[in-house]
Amino acid sequence: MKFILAVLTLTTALTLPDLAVARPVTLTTTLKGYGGNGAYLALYVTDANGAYAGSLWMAGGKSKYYKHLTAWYAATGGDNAQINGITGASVGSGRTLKITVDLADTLFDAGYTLHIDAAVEDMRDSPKEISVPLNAGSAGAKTKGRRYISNFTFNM
Amino acid sequence: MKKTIALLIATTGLTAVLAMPAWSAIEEAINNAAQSEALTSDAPQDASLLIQLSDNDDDDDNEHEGNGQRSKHDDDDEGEDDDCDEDKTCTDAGNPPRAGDAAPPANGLFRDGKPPEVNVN
Repeated sequence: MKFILAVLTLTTALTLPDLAVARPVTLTTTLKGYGGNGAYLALYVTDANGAYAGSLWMAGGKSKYYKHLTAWYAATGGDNAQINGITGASVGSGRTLKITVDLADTLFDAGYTLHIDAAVEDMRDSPKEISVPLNAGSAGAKTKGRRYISNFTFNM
Repeated sequence: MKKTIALLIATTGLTAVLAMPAWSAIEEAINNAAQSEALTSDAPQDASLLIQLSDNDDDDDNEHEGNGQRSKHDDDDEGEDDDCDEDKTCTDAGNPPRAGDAAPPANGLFRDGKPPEVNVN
């Protein structure tokens, strides 16, 4: 009996951290009707010191335009390795981009901030148009954008 | 004889000492001239860049607001779309692989390399 209890305790102890490692998060970005071509958007995270931690999504497939996502580009040097396999089409005026991703639990309530840079052809670049702290208090709250983004929310 | 050699060595040494600053001055003057030439040759390039930026809207209706904007005109392949087609991968070798074509980066943000699910409405 003691042996079974010990095994159960051990397996529970090994399973719980795995369950707590990540949580599904939905990032919803709604663009304004700015009237231009599709917007390039870079979604990325910085740590408590403001240092670049990693990218979550790149909307826009052509790397030659990434320099216009100026804050992301400054942090990464435009390194494609940062966005391999997490790149999709640019987002049209007035459209909504919804991304669901299993994010590491360690990102939440630990000083991390999610940023969105935006750029549209023949229009002004908009670095860090959205900056939202990744904490439970910010979840579900709408954050207004400055130029191309109407609002952004994340839900978990 | 010894006196002559000593005299020759002394004059050679004196000449070398006097000539060194003069030689340095000549070299400096050459370098300065090269630098100022580079500066003056840069100026027209900057000027032409400024002219081109202000002249970019000759074939479209969008209003340009100066620098810091994405423009087709700063590319060498104006005939191409600004984006990769939804159903095709970008053929340009410099573009990153799209979602589904490669695993997400191991940046510690994604669990088990699971790619994001994306939907545009």
